[in-house]
Amino acid sequence: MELRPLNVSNTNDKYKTYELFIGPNHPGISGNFSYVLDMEGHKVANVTPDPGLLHRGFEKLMERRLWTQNLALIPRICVPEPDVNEVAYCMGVEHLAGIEIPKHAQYIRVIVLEMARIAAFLFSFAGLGGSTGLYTAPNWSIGDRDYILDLFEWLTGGRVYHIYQYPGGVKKDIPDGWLDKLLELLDYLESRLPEYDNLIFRNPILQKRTKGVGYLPAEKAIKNGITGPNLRASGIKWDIRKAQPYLVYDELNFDIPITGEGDAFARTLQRRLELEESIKILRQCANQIPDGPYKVKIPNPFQFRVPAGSYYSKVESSKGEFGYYIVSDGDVKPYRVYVRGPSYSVGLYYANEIMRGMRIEDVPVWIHTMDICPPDFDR
Amino acid sequence: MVNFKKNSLAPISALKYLFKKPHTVRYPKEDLNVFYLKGVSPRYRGLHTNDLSKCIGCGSCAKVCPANAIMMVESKDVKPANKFAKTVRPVIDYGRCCFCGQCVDVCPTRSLQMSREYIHSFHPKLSTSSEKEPETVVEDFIWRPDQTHADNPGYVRT
Repeated sequence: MELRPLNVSNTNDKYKTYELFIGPNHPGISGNFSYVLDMEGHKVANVTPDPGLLHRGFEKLMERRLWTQNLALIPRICVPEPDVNEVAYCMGVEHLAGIEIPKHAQYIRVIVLEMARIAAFLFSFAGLGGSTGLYTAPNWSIGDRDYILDLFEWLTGGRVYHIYQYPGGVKKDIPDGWLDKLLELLDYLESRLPEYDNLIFRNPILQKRTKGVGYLPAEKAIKNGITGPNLRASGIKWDIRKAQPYLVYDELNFDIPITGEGDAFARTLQRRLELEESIKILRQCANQIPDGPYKVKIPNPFQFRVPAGSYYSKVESSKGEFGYYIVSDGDVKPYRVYVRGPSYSVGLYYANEIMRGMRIEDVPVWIHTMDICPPDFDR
Repeated sequence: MVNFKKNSLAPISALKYLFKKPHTVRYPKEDLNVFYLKGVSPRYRGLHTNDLSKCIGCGSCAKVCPANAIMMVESKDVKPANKFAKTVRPVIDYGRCCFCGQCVDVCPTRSLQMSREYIHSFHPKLSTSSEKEPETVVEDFIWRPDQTHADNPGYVRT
């Protein structure tokens, strides 16, 4: 028998690539989603996103429920940040039904959205820490996120799924002493930011692991429909809060920070800088929230008919543009609801392109710095 | 902005975290001390309470429930509140309930409310035979709310 010389690689095509399944049981992936990678050595040759494990048929379920019954269902579409679903859906329904919600309720909605944004950013730091082996980061950021969840629980009654928004406003007013606690929490979070910088962003190991990984040029980001912090990290100043202000964002004073490098480190840094802006927005809201009613009365759920028409309402979430396209035929139930999740363009479409040629250890880093939330698109 | 200056003493400053308290509470021994009440939130959506004398048996809660967890069951031990009221009362299947609170929002007499009780695991007695165990669990899970938890109100319609 003749042995192959050691320095000649195996040219048999059958063994050239091997298939690697990265799925829900691996710590590197977020959510019940999987990628099937064809590997050549440690480089990815081809990638097939494999959705389906998380499919729950939300859009079809929504057509069989009353307009208000859907509010118990849709927070489940994006687990780390459920409030954007409720707000976007309610804004769409209110626009179709011609309901103008009071200023007080709009401020409460902005407070809820920004708190959810901070919680989601902290969650994404945890994901990055998990995928780079920096396990102190998840411990810290999940711990601090819990203080935000405490305030959510006090305000809404639920920690993760709040079911707090309602067409015409919010379900309950802010309790006494809640805003003072919020300001206390913001001071605490701000005092933690330098420590996060020391732990995560000034960490030489993490910088080495993330700089230059998954480079996303600005033209490709626009072409693929990528929005949110991922787009801004590529150097494009586009934020729906500034470009097409909804609720009371035009009355608030805040900046849109830009980091232009477009790599994994820039994307994480972008989230860290936006977290600071969210704290600024929350402080302004807590100080200038006007008195007034927290909701307008709408007919009871069985008689609540939304006039026929269609509307696309969008909200800037922590991952990008979250949109609801709502079609009504004037009945007590929606005719059709389409959800545009921000991770759709990244996780399903752009993944095919960028993952080719990537090293296997960079795949989880790319997934977590892109902040892919599989329930958004596999719904 | 993030300060990227280098500091050679930075690793030593990590020692202070050894003396910090953990974020977590040791649950059965301690309880959350965040709200003005001990334990969970004052607006917590837990097990239901129903004032059976105030309830008129209209069935709105059963109709609005997104999880179809509520059924209206004829109850012999209640009196109708007026001549239009019925004697059916809501019975809730906690295996299906998603604790969204829409039944509380829609209740016209405000008799159906939610309490701050959140432990809804039931242990059948050790003497229960294995054939009867599913029935015992079902009896505990499908339950007609009454005033059992009324002293601990949570999510209440305002």
